[in-house]
Amino acid sequence: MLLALFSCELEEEVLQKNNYRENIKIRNSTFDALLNEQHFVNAISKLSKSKPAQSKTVMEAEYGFTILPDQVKVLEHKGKTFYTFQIKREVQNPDYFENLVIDTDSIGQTDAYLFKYLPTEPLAPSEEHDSFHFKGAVHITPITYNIAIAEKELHCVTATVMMCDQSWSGSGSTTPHVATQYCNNPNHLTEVTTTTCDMTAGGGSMGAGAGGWFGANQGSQGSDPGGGHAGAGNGSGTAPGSNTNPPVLTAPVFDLDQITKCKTISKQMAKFPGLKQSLIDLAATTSDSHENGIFIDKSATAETPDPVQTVPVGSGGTIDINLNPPSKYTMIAHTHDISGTDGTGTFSIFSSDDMATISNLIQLGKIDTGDFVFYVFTADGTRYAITINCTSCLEAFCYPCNENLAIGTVLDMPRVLQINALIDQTYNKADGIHSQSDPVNDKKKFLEFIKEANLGISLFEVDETLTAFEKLELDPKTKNVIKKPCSN
Amino acid sequence: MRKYLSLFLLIFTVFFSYAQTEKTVDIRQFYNSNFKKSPLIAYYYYKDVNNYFTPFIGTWIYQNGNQTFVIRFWKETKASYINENPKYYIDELRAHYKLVQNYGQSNEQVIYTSEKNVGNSVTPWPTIIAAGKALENYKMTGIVFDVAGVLNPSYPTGVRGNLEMTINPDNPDTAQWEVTLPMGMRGLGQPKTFTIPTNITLTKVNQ
Repeated sequence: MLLALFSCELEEEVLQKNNYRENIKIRNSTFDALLNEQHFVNAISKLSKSKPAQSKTVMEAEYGFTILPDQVKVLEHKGKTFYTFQIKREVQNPDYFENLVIDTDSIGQTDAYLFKYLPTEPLAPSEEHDSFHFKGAVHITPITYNIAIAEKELHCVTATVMMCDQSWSGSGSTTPHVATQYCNNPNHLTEVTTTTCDMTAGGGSMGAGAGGWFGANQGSQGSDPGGGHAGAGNGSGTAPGSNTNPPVLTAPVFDLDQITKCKTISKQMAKFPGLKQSLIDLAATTSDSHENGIFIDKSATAETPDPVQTVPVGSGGTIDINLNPPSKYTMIAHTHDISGTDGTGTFSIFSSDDMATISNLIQLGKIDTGDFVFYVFTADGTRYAITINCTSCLEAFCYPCNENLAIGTVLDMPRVLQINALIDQTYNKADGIHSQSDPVNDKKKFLEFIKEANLGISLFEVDETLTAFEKLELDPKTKNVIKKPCSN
Repeated sequence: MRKYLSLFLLIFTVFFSYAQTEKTVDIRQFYNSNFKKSPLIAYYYYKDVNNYFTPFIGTWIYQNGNQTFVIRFWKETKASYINENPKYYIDELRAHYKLVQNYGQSNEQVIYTSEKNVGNSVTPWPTIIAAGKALENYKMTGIVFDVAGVLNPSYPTGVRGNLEMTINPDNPDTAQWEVTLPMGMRGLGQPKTFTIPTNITLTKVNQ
């Protein structure tokens, strides 16, 4: 009987959820296109306290951000419209990304919020769905103006973040990812409800409040945000303070290229027209009996006559990179020569010491991680590039690393041993990466290493003209290497 | 209803108990990229099921004049990494080395030893060989840290080398010890010269 009642309740809940999801409309737009929609123009005019045609709104100036205009997600539900934009700041922190969500109803009442998404795992694209996977925390800050300290009060904001587990291609992954307009089956829409409580603040401060957390396997499969079901409703009693507003509805917006990083490489090539030839010239030196290297640092501009500098060759045939350069590195390229350190030959791909050195440089604050490209050209004829997706992941790899350990320091020795076990798994065994191993297998091994060691990087294979770049990934099911050409 | 509830509880308990289990597999699976892990297994234990570690366990020496390089291997059974990520248990061949003047004599003097703290920390080296394992009964590999030279405080783990130790099949009490510098870019000033022997023949002196 109880089971039957329980079933009835579930059925009713499912109907409510489906009804709720069916009423959600998701579409993509751009800022310019939205300027043709009066509803949006009214909303942003109210918030901006300035005309939207102006280059920067008051909201952006006061909170220190810029709206990225190329991609906007518009979610509509029960007469309310929610516009989600990705925003950027002058100094971008690669450990999180931010969205601006504008919430407006049919009578023109408008609010805006900053959503800060902090991934706990590297963001992964699901490009066939024009989406990405996200797991981590979210912090919401309401946009307010000119509030005196005395007027500040505890304010809670509840948001429903839309995720999706639909496999559009029919055979693709069903791992939950951020909902897009392609998630057209309401049965696959998933709502994750999160609440942030904060002292309402002006001036762009991201105050310390109780942030929510969500992720791919934390999605509350369909709680009606209006229905007050346990654990996920509208102000369901989990948060202090009063919050009588319905939840803010959004789906995160993030430029996928910040994951794929194809544009990072092409932009750098475009900025420094001589770089391509310098890389081709470097790649031609792999028959030397020592490694060679070049770099560009952040002080170089497009006008710098010769931005490419040489890394000195150290003892033992390896290059020794300056760990304390005056400017951060934006590009490092090096060769794996035909001899190798022990005269037995080259590694066809990046070594663990290559990665440890980059990790070390990040710890020292000497890598411009957002724009950084790291190349290797080897005597096996292979050419690869790396970009950084998760700074903190790569930063953690080298441990303990170039540290003057203070007297009394306690080290996590299991971690030291485990990192070395991962290196050993990849490099120091018969079918691992070594001087005589098969370069095709080395690619797969290195991609496995990226995953196991949580390096948070993208790997690209490069053609000999340094024109075509293909992003390499491991197929999660077959474990084969997939090549995704960069289109730019 | 009670039956349904009991059945549900039973299934839940069985599933939950099973999901917490630990499974012992051959240590070679740790190095097999095609090994498929079950999501129902909480921890794998990669075990030296064939006792390939056994011939290496004990003390080995290399004598050069009145100086003797001494290395002692032991088997760390079921070393725990369940507080790390990924989480597992594994058997490891662990070791410590030392260089001794007048080894075994009354005036014996230790020139260097790996049985010390890491750099200036208060954490002792639990082993100076990481990932030490034998996947065959005559060859072990791992990563050895050379901490015998003068400490550069910026590099508390010294010089990292790839180790390969191969027992002579015709004389199992002798083995070739080889240490090589891994390939790769390094920081300016990073030590990369070994102080410990890099290519010697060791002789086993006790089990």
